[in-house]
Amino acid sequence: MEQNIELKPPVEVRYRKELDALLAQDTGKKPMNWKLSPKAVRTFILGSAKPLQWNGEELHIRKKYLGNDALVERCIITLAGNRGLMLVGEPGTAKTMLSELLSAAISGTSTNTIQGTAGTTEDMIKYSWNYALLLARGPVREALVPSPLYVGMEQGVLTRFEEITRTPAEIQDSLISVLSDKVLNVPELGEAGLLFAKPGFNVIGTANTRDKGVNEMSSALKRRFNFETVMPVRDVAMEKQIIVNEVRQLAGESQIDMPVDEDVAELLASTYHELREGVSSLGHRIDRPSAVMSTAEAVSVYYQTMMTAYYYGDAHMDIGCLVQNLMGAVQKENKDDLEKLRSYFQTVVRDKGGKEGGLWNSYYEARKYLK
Amino acid sequence: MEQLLRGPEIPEIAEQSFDDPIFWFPLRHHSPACAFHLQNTIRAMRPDCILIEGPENAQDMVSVLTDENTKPPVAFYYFYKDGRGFVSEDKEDYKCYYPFLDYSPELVALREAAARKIPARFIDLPYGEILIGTASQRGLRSEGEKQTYNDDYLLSRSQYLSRLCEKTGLREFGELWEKYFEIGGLSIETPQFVQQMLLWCGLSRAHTPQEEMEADGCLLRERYMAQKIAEASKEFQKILVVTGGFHTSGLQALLQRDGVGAGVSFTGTPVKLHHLKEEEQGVYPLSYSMEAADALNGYASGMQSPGFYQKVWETLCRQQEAASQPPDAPQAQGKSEPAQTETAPQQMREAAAGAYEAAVLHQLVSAGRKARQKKEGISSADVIGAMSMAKGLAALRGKREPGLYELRDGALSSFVKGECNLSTDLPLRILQELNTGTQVGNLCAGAPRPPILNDFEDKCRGFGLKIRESVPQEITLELFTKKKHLTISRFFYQMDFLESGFARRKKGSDLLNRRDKNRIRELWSYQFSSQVLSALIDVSTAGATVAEAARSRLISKSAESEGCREAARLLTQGFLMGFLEEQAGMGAHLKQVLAADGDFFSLTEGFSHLRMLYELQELYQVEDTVELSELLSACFQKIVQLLPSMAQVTEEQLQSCMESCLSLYQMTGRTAFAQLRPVLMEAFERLLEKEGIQPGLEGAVLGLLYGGDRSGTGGAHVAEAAAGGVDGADCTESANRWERRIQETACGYLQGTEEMHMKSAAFLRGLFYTARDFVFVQEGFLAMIDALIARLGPEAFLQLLPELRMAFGYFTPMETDRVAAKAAALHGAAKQELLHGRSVSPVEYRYGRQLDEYAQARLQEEDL
Repeated sequence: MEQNIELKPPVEVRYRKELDALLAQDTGKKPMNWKLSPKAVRTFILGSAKPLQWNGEELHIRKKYLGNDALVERCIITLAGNRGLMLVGEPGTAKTMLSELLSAAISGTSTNTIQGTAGTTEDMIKYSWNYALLLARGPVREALVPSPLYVGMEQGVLTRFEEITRTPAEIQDSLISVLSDKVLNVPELGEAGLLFAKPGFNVIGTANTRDKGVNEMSSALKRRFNFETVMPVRDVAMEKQIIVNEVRQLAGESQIDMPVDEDVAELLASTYHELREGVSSLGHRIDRPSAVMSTAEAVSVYYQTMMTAYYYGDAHMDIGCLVQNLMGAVQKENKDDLEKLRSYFQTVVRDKGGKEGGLWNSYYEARKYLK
Repeated sequence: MEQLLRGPEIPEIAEQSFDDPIFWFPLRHHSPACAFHLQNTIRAMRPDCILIEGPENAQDMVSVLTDENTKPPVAFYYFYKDGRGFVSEDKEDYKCYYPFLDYSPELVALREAAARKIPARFIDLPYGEILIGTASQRGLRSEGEKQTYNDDYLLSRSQYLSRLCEKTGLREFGELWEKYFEIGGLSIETPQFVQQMLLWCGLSRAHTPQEEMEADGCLLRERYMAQKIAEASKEFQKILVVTGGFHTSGLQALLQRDGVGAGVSFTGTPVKLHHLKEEEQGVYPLSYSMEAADALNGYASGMQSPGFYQKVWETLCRQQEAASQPPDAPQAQGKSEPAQTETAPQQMREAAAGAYEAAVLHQLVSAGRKARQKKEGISSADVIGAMSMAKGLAALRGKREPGLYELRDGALSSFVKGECNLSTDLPLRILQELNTGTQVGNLCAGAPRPPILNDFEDKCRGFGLKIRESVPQEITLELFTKKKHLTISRFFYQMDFLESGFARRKKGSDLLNRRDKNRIRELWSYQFSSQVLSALIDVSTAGATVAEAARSRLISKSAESEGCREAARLLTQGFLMGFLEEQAGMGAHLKQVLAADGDFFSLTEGFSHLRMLYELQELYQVEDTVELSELLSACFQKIVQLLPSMAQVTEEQLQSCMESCLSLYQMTGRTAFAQLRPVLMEAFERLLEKEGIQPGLEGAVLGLLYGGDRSGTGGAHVAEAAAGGVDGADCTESANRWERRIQETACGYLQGTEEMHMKSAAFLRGLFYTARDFVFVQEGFLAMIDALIARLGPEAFLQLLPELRMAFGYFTPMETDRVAAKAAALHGAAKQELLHGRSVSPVEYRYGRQLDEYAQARLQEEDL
């Protein structure tokens, strides 16, 4: 029988082995209804130096979130408390990934998610009805269609609320009573309509500071959350590592049998880092493009180039193709961005080519594709 | 690093007993845990002498530190003047601080010794000797950092630390230290703590190369300290040695036990001292501030956030007292007299529990309250949230109690609403301020201190200036309405002259640079810091009061001054500081300097200073003790002599030369100096006769000559005329001469060869600088320039343009408008039309576009 392959398996599936191993060996104190103890959650996300012995094999818990360790610790402790966790930051700073990892480790599921859009309504957040059943049997529990929030409260698991600031402020506010009283009232069900949240329930929100920030969020709702600002990775070596890890993962999932070229990853990481920070490693001052220069973007630029090489080329990364993809990624919001990228090549890449030669030289030569 | 990968050999640590004749207590400076265990050690061991790492030339000052009226933070301020070049050929002056906080282990030891009436001695080399024994740019001689005597960096820089932090999942050395030694250290017994410290310090030492220790002066100091320990061991039975942990094993290696009860003897080479004289080095106690003690403020060898650790220490003391006293006999907090009944170690340890948690809570509550006062919406619920976050993190990170790092994390996640940026992080900044602390120390009444410090404090008190806080303050001074304000201003100028960094003028007249001379108010910002005190100590030999020191410094500087510029500047400074009586003497010196000075620019600048002082006399209602008018005349004569030789000034000097000419001219406009006008005019004429005169200067001088003759010789309105805008009615014969000359010269330049074209703009620039009214008075002049410019080719014109712009830049907007209207009229247009560009015809536009497209296509073809 053909195996059912998912395009992107959820975190708890992807890391099932690690989660099982940690669960089996977890001796730490657990908040009620948590699958793992806070210490084990930390280990799951930040990795462990020593391998775990599990089912007769050595299992390395890899560091999955590269960045600020203290931030991860704060997130875990927030979730064990009575306030929600709000991750804010620039697009592509791995907020969603972090929230998935936390949910998978704490509640065993990362799929209990509300996706916030401008069209999100209150019944998508709380509950709605199966109208056929409602007409047939009246307002009974079976006719109620629970929302992820409802499920979270009922089962004592985490509910993720993605892009919370994209929903209208008045709709966001329907979370206030749930977060403070931990109770949801379904008046249609009469006396049985009070849903008290089980221990283990909490909300992880993510919000993007780029297009619609958290400023419009009501202060009543803000008070129910602990905010964590996720910053872009500031270290080139770490950014390179993220690109390598992510691309390897993506390639594995798509069965692309091609090794990741670390030099190219480093080249890309430097480019993104320098364009984001506005200063090169050689000290040039650079105009920052207005487009988002996130690590996630860098990963997708690399991955696109890799696929092109795999399907059309000789399975070697083509720098010309990389530059073309880079151009596509940068030139999104503003026409001037292309000009900025071009001048980056004319100054920084040229000088690096002169100094370091090799890959930087061919990178510089590929500037002809920047049109 | 290789060593590290192989796994460091753990040095063997011999177990110590409180009954040993010498007990070694290794410490890290400014560590509450070390202070706590040191206190326990002293109480358990009951030594009859305590030896402490510290330059021994401060020995006499120990009683100041232990006086009950002395309130930390205080510091010893050491200075050494390398006049004989022992340290280096540069013969520089050196200084450093040795700060003491309430929880500094050394201070705790000194206080305990005083309470027990046993001797406590400093055993390190005198400061000057340490410097002599240190290599350039190392240890106490490294630059770029405020120098402190503490050498904790020795414990925090060794190679294996970063690996250790990485391995333990901690952010930095500070966190590592806090977790294992500060918080962890309070939960273990004293002997065990000492053992762990010895191990840690032994490892740090094992990873520090011998050469580095030698260069830092470590080994030399250790030899000296070991010598002192050996000496003391002959005298006392039970000695407690309190030194930086890094040195302990080094000291031990230099000593050899002589047999039971016979003390130890020194086995190394004795240190040879240089017998420094009293005036070459010295030490003073001074009050210090928490801000200065914070590692964040460039005090790298300190501990961070002293305000937070002070809270921890206060809680520790309180709890310990409560544990050692019967419940109904409470003692004043902070002062830990030797307990009559020594408390059991177990009890002590229990008393220490919870100190960190209490301090974290205290800081969070205080920060929350302060943030509320600043209209930040921090509720009690947020404080509760932050506290539970701190405790939760401590549990997750395996710390017994939350510490500084958990405190910060707790505040970060609960106090910041929204994205963490400058608009939302005020609560964090408030917390940081609290963690640093704003206290300023206080010395007891009898502390030896130079009288100048007392004077400084008395003055500040008298003026109502706040020096008990280290936060910057501002004060506005109304110089001419309040006498006290003028006195304060003079005091500030004196402090500024002494380079104390105490006060800075933010607004008001800047007489030194001769700007905004007519302001009646001054806004000053001032800030107390220990550097202010140390700067005053540095000048304490110059006088017993701030004014005296500033005065004697002024006089000596004035006596040394060379050149008119410098001497006159000092005169102005003296004026600002209110030293009017000294001016006579300085004036006499200035006369001599003047006679010897042959530098035109120095003279003219000095002249400007003198002229300003002359003009300000009336405003400030001071008597002329310097005979300024005489000095001015002398200076004037000298300048006039030199003037003709300035014909070929360089482009860079032109502006100041023109300014000087104008300034001289304006001065002769005053009735008192009117008789000098003809002399000046003559000098100008001689200047013009010089060949190859700088065209700018030529223009300027011609303008002045023209103006001078037009308004007759003398007369107070000449200065105004020079400033422009006076309609000339009476043109004298000689003014006509200059008028013709100006026109001829301008013509000559504009019609001349190519190089001369370029000079025409410079000429106009000079002319307009001194006599821009010429354009309005002489109707034909503008037309002439216009016609000549029109004859220039486009390229020549473009070359000329920048300088022309500069020339016309001297006109006021209204005048520019008039000039433009006249110029437009010459071409038959109204001035409004100048503001609009000519519209482009469709034919032209089409042609232009085609041209553009063609060029672009060609460029693309060439792949450019």
